[in-house]
Amino acid sequence: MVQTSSVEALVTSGLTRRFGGRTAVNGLSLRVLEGDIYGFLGPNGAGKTTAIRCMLGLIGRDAGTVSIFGESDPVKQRSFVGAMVETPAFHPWMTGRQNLERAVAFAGRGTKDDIDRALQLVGLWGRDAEPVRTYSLGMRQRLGIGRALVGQPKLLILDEPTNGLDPRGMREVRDLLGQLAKDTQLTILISSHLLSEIELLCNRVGIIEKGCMIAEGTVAELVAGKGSVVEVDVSSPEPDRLRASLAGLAGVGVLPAKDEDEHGALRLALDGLTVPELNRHLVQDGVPVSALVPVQHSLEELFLSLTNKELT
Amino acid sequence: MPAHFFLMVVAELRAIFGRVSGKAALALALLVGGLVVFGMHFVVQQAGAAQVNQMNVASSIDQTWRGTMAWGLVARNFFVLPLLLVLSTASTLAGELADNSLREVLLRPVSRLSVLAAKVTALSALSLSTLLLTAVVSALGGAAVFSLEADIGPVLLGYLVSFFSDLGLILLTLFISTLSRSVGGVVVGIVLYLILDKGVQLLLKALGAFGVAWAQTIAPYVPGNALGAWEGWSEQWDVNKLIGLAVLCALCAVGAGARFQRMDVP
Repeated sequence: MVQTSSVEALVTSGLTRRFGGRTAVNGLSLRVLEGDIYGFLGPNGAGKTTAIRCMLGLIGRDAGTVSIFGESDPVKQRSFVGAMVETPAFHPWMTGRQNLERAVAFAGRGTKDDIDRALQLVGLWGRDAEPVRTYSLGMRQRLGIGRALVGQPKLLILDEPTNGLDPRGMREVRDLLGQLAKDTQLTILISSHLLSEIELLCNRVGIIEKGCMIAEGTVAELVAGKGSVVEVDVSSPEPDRLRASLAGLAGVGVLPAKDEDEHGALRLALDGLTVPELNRHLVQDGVPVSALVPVQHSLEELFLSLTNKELT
Repeated sequence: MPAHFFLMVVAELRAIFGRVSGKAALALALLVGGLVVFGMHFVVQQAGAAQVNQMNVASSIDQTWRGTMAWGLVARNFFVLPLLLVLSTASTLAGELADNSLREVLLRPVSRLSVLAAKVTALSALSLSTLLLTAVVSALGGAAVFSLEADIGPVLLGYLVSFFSDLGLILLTLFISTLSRSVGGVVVGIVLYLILDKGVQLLLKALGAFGVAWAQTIAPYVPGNALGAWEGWSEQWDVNKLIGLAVLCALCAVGAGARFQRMDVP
């Protein structure tokens, strides 16, 4: 279980970045609390990576503010942060350990023990004396995460950590992130397309589309539905009678996407009506009900409904 | 803070000396020092009695350690080693921008100016290392093969000025790296720049020959001319060239710093 506090780890307000006439990040405001595992979601080209680059000071911003643990100075901000932006880059002729030593040198803090711990955590202990050019893509990705961990960060920002990996590599990184979330007290922001993993890993998510934040909250809040509307699947051996009974009931809508399937099930949206009240009404109307199942939405369904795009 | 900067410089040195261009620069500097001694010895032995312009070849060669050091400097500064220095410099900024490894450094809690300063310091150390290698090998070789009876002060000053010429070349390359972002682009940029610069020098010389006074006045300050300030090792120091070099270093440092500070790093 993720333990969060009320301390703000990362706050952006009105973050905006334009490239010529195109606005890549448009007034983005997000809030990550200390201890959060925050999923930063959005379809390809939504502006996730640009937003992360703005947050980390890699690229300039046209408007907006970024605060990391209350600090507004970009150099001081980065003393709290370990980050991996897209595919990590290394000096390929150097060994894995030498690349981490380089990171420690520029971080200005960290010890040999920190490097050893990071290497062990990402499962590269024993391979650290080999040049990075001999590493597989999955190993480089894990070394990138290891590098983000050296320098004693409080906030870990990982942009598409599974980008370009095969299913095995994705599994490795997913397991590693799960372990990190479980074993460390880090605040983590992960941008990813892997919605099912994000749903399992993260306690809070933000979804962006065309550079704007379109939904933010805990995973439970977001997947529970929009406002007071509850969705429910109702099956009956007499679907016509079911429809007739529902027609006279206020606060019930038949959702078009699910309409009526081959088993006579309807997906209903209840607004102001509870599931027990619906059940009581149908029983009083003499409608035989074979199943009455509240719908549990997945983050993926929510994501698709909000962004109206196919995942890639 | 100084300790942090020192660590950054050491990290940059590891990267620079780990690249082929860095290793090649050191190897070439070593080789040049040895080859000059060997070459001078060979000429004196094989063709020393020959006459050129009614002068004995052997008598026209400074057969002391000063002579080997001086020719070592000329050979060291001839084209290849400066090109390797340009390659090392371009790799350390434009190359790291192109392969994204610079991004990893800029994610750390350091200012961009201190990153640039660490790179300049490490590249200066590369330049200094090559100069020292050539100087020591050619001096030892000259002392062993020829004689120690000469004042090497002016030549040592020539080595020192060469270091500042290298610094000018490093800063110029860094500045162009902030514009080009690819090693090939930087090398082409430097070559085009030097061709243009040479053209300007020739033009100024021609104008001077036709009696245009201002052309003669500004000619020493043209950057390419300033980069050749080291040629003054022969005790004929041109102060204007040194001023030109200082101006070039200052302009390129300010230009590179301002560009690097503001540039987007992908």
